[in-house]
Amino acid sequence: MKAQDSLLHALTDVGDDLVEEAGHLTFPASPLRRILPLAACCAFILGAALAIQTWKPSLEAQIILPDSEDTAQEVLPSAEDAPATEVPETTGSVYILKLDDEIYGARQAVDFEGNVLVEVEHGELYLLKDESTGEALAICARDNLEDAEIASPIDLYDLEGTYLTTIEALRISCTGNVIQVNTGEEYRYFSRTAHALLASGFEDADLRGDFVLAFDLDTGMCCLFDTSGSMTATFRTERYDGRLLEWDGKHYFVITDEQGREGLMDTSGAWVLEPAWDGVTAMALGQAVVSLDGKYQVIDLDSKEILFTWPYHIYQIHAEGYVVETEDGWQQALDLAGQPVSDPAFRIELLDDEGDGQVELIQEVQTDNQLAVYRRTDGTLVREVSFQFGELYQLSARTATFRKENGNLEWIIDVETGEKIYLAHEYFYLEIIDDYDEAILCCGSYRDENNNLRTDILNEYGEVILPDVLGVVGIQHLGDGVFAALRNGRRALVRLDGTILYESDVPVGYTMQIDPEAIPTYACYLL
Amino acid sequence: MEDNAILALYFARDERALDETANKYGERCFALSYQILHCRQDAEECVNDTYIRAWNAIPPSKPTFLGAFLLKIVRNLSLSAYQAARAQKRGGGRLEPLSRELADCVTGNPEALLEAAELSRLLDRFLRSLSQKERCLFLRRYWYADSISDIAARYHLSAGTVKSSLHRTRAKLKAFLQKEGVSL
Repeated sequence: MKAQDSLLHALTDVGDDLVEEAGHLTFPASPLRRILPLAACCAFILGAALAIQTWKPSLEAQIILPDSEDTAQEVLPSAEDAPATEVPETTGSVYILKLDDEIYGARQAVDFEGNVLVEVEHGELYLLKDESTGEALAICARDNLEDAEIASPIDLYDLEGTYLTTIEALRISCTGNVIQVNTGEEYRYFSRTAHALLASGFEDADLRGDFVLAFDLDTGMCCLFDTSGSMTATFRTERYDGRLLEWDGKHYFVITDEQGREGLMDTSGAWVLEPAWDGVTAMALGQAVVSLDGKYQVIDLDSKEILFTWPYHIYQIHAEGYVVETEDGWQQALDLAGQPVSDPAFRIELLDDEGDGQVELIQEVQTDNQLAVYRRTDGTLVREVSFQFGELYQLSARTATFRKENGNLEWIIDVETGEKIYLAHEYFYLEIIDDYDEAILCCGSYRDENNNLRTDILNEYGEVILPDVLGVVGIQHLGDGVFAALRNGRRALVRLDGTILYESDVPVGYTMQIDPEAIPTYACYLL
Repeated sequence: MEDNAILALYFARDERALDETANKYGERCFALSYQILHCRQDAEECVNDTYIRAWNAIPPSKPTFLGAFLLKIVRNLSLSAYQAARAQKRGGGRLEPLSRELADCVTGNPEALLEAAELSRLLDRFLRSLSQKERCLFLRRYWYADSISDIAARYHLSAGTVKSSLHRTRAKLKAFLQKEGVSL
């Protein structure tokens, strides 16, 4: 094979994320933005601003300070009046329940008492949340979707289901004081407090809990806003290629200067690390990995002191050491003095359940003999676990599952004690419910003796917490320990203790007809 | 249907997985194969073989990106089919120009070929060092085998801009491979 053909073939196995990126990413021009009649633009801006103005007082009405008295609020039952199950800690929450398995389909927004607040028949329903605090602000309903990629009316409701306003858009998002409206043609930004348009005309955007980055691809400018809505920095797209590092809930941008040197900027637009490096690749504990002239270094971001130098890649930083590349291309864990605390391995995983840089265990993955070696951060051996003819999947620093080659789960191992826990069912699918933060919970699916699909919720030691939640694979966690479930042949909301919060009147498999008169509770049609 | 739901069907050994895969990814797989082979019948065969390979691979594999997983299979099968067709001196295909362009990156001793997996790893690293736009242009041309005009239309650029970007990226790749001590 010719050398150039080798290149063509070898390209196949580059990272899946790169293939996906090139498969989906487009850099659209925005000619429409320039030719939109000014009057229409002004009308929209005015309409949107008015809508937000109308909406704002209702949003404020949801914010109740813990110590404030609000006589209009429903009085919660006293402990004596409480039902046998514990008083829910989910007061004020709203859950979005899918009534079918379509991407856009029938949905209900249900409150913590099981009241249906808003419904859509064929569309999407989501909670507009302040990404900076996680607080739910409103319910957004987009119904009768024929083409989800074209802007259509989004009806906004408060968290009690009262209609607020309608905005023509693809999506509305919020972080801090900034409301982002994606019209399908551009991104527009409004101030929640000043009820004013902050900026518009952006073709792409990235909104997170601590910043908004808006892109004007015509001019190549990126505008960075903080959560108050102030523009804190601008830079050209060729200087920023989307690389973000994250630590302690804050994001940092890897920016390249005109000479091709990389630096690190925080969300206030300040340089955390001036551009002086060939690469800035990892970050943790107020330190970053930088490379210069083929040398890799760990630098303290406050003092700019070089803490550690290595001739090959430094992959990760943690409180008691580093993960580096060896001369032979393997990975190895080192202590802070640069001394090895693991053998070279195909892969080194740092098991850090809290994600705070304080690593509980180091895992070496040896693919030659299919062995996982667990060590403490000083290198002390804890256990060796063979995963021959299968694969090991870490649940936490305490437990891991072994799946056979056919994908079925065989056992869970307690890493400290070495105890293997065999489960009651042969789960063919088991996955961590990653948005449940209180504990490690998994959903496990299996087929019963009649070949029916069953899905349980288990803890990380294989104990079934909530059996037979759904007749499909996977779990929908709707927040606060409330899950979508199948009960009595209907879709329902259940809590972890098994109590049913709400049972829909829509049987599974039933397709709702768009007939507002026949279904008079459909708020979005009646309003 | 979302990828997780499709994967769940594979794990449940439910043959609807194949229908859902074809519904969601069939067109993309066919488009890629057709770009390489330029023959509808051969491309359809490659796509069908892709579904069989995916069925056999999942489980135990559980791809994070199902789309990329399938596209890689179809790309491999299509490249093999292309080589077989070329050996028999039949079929068109669009790889000749790509191969000629990539010859820009070739230096050194062709006897000292690198192991394919190592070369893939290096290419991955190289691509991650590029800007997003450069990377997408390069991959659309040499991974997806898109024509220059298609890339230009996709990214709202002139054909000349696309060509010059690709030229610069090939030069960077050559420098990168030289720096890494790779002889191709």
